[in-house]
Amino acid sequence: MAGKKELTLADKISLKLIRPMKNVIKDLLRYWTGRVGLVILLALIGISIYAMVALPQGFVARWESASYWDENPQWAPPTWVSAFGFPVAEGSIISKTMPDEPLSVEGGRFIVRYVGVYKLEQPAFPQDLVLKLTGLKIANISGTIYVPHVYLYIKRPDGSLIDMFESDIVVGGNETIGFVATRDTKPDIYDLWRISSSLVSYYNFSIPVDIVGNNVTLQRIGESIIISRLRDEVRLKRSALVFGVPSITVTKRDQTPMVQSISASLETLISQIEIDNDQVAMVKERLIESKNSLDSLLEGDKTLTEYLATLERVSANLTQTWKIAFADLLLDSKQLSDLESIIRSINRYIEQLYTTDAFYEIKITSTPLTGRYEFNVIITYTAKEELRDVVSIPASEVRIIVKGNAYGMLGTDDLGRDLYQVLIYGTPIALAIGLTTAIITTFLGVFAGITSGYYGGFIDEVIQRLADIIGNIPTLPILIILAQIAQTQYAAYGTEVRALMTILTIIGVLIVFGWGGLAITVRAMTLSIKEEPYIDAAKALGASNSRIIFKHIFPQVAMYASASLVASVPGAILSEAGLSVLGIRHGWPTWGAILSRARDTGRYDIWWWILPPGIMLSLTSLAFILLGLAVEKIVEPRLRTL
Amino acid sequence: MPGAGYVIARRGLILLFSYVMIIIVVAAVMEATGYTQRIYESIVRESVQAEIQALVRAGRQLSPTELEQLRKDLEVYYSKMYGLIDEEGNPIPPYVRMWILVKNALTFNLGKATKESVAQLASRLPPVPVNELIATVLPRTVVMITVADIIMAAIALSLAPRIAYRHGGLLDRAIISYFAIFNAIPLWWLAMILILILGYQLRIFPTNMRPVSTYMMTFWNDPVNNFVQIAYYAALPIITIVVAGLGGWLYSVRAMVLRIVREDYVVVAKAKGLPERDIARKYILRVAISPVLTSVILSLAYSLGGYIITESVFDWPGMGSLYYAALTTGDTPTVIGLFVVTVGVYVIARFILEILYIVLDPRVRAR
Repeated sequence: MAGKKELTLADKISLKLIRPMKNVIKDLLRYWTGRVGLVILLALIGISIYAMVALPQGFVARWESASYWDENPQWAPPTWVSAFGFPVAEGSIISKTMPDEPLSVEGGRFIVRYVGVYKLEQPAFPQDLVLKLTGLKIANISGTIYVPHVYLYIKRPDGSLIDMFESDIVVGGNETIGFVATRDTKPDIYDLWRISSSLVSYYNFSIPVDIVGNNVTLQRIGESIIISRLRDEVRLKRSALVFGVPSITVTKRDQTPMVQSISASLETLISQIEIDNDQVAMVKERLIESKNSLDSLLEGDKTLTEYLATLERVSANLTQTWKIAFADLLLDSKQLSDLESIIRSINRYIEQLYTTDAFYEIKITSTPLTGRYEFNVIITYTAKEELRDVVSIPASEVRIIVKGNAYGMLGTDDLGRDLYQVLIYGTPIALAIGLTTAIITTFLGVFAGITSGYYGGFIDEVIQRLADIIGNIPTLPILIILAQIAQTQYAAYGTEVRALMTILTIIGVLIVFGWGGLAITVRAMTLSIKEEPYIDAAKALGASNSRIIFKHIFPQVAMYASASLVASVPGAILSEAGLSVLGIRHGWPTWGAILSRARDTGRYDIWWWILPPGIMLSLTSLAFILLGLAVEKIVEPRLRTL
Repeated sequence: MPGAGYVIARRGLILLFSYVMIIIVVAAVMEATGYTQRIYESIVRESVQAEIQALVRAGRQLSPTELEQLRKDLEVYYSKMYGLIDEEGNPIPPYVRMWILVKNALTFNLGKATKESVAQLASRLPPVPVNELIATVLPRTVVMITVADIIMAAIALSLAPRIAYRHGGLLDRAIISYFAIFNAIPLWWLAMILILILGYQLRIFPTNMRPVSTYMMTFWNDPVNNFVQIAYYAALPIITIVVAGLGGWLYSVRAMVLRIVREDYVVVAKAKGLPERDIARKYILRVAISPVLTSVILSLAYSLGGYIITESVFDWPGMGSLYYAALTTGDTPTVIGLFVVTVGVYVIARFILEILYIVLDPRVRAR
């Protein structure tokens, strides 16, 4: 006999593993479903590898930490929306460790200045401006504490200066003598009065003369009303006025209802007076005169000054009339009290016109101001010579953060978290969950099915009844209960452990309740294979049961099992995401977690929050469904015409 | 050879066994894991606390010892009420309570829902008998999911056989692509997107479906108007389910028909030149009817259980929402009641199918 060639390990691997693999892939590539599925799957694997390499360790803990993300804008769309005509204000973080101008002395104080520059390219408002001072120095020299005084102003592209903030920074209080303490602080730099006053003085806002008239006092009052309105606007819109030019339109409010109502009650009063002597006639005459001058206000375009002059005259006239009528008993008590209430309402009206914006309406709009912004942060200390060296660098870092109105590749969520990073990070997690569940479920199903079919009898009955029972239990409710239990059980062990255990519980439940269907099918296949003559032959040659199962039955079932494996991957991924959306959260940054957060806040309008994770979920499922279709055709040659 | 009666009786017994086992498994999950125990203990704690606070606020002067005694009494009272301890005051261990749960479930003694968010789904205040709760909520799920299921089944059954006949054609490929894509998209995500587009942006459909319960409960006061209102609220959920699920239906019916179209006897019939209509009716439909019927009836039975996630996204007050409310608040009677009903319906559907098989398929009858 010819010498039997001994197979080397390499040959064995090539024969048993690489060659079948090649064949499978070649088969898969024959169908478009297989090709598309493979391409998507490879892309997902690529993203997973990238995620493991590129994203830092401890991402899980960071994802839940709000303070880590506080320099990002919230609910910001991706920056590429600018390509679709939405102007985008870029975000920028200006970090300074060294002052831009060295220490100087002025007015008995040491002055250190930091200057940051930001360019606004497109007509849009950045979301916010934040100042962070890290390691700000507070010194205690022989019992006197020297605190820094921080001043921030902005030089804007049109040359205007805006005072933002000025204050002593007093923090802490455990400085010991001769000790320099450092503090991190994030002052609220939106000083509403300063900002609104700066804007008013630069842009010379006032109420137009043709509305207010030439009364200087009224003009001053008008200006202060504008300042207070601007202040409200800064409070509401913050950065819109820091990065924009406000424009003010003042329009007259319609005064007719007020004047008419006074005039009408005067009219009623006049009609009730019956003339029985000359004096009463005179009183009535004076009332009619007042009414006429009131009515004259409605004719033509009167200014506020004119309004007030007329109203004051009318008020004085009516008061005089009341006095005459009261002294000489010319009107009855009802008429007197009516007149009194008319006078009172006129006076109230006068007061209103004097002190509020009842006469004019102020509308403030702001248009973005593009160009170069210069943020000046000035830190000063009392000029004490011992301090000079200490405070020449008063802070380890000065950060000026301009939060853009758009962020990164995929925008941010409500905490300012970078959705791109989460989306990338979610990929390996999703694949891991899906594949782990599918592989274990399939192995269990195949093993149970072959055992059941091959041995028959009591074992068969037990396995089939088990498969029947678990197959009829609605899985999702059980999943919800057990995931909740896992969450409370491991709550004390920290985020990462709890997340891991919750996900393992989900996977475990899906496995326990998932193998039944496959087991029933595999059993049926085993039953028919068992009847084949070569099994009898193997038995006759004395092959053991395990040899028959592994050498003769398993290979025939394997292809079908692999189709089932591929098809069952998406189920686990979608279950995990679905549970998250329901609110059963594990705390890991998965696609479901993003969707869950979006659903909690009820913000369905934020498409960059809802679309990308769903698309990733769908793409992942699609890859496996397409591969499953291709594998199915390879397994079931009768479907092969496609 | 055993007769049809024997076959039916045997299958019936097996299904009954499964049903009992399922209830036992669920009861074990609820009790043996300590889930119910923990929830009841916290309820007892809260109730005792609330009563004592109410007394103190009402101005009752109580010495510390009296207060302590009161707390103990209340604890015993509430623990008894929730079945944590027996009449003698001994704690009832979880494995004993589990069997009480099973016994009550199997005798359809479903008890009362005690949680507010659960009772709220029937617009009532707790306690509400679980069977009344389910009877109120079930029609809503029928209006949404079962109706959608019937629509899908009707479309699939009328379209799929024709497509299978022209196997490999353009329409066939289109169906496969449709199936692959919409099977990949999670139903609840599609729901979110459609609410976003059709609800919030275009304002065609409502964005919150909770009000449908009002129209369903007062349906007979003004049937016409209420029907229109219910249709208005149910439209978007039904469209969503049909769009998402139709692909799967078409694909599976097509696959069933396809398997038969490839059988030798169909090829022979074709070769003999029999008219296509006869082949379709006598050779294909007659054989295909039992798997198709199986999937239709089982999916209708399954639909009564509601879709937990999708109903939650639509805020549809159906069985899925009831499941969810009961599961998250730990309302054990409702959870068990829901399992009893949904699994029960499913098992009964399977039993009906067993009988139908025997009627429809002579091979089974002869077995």
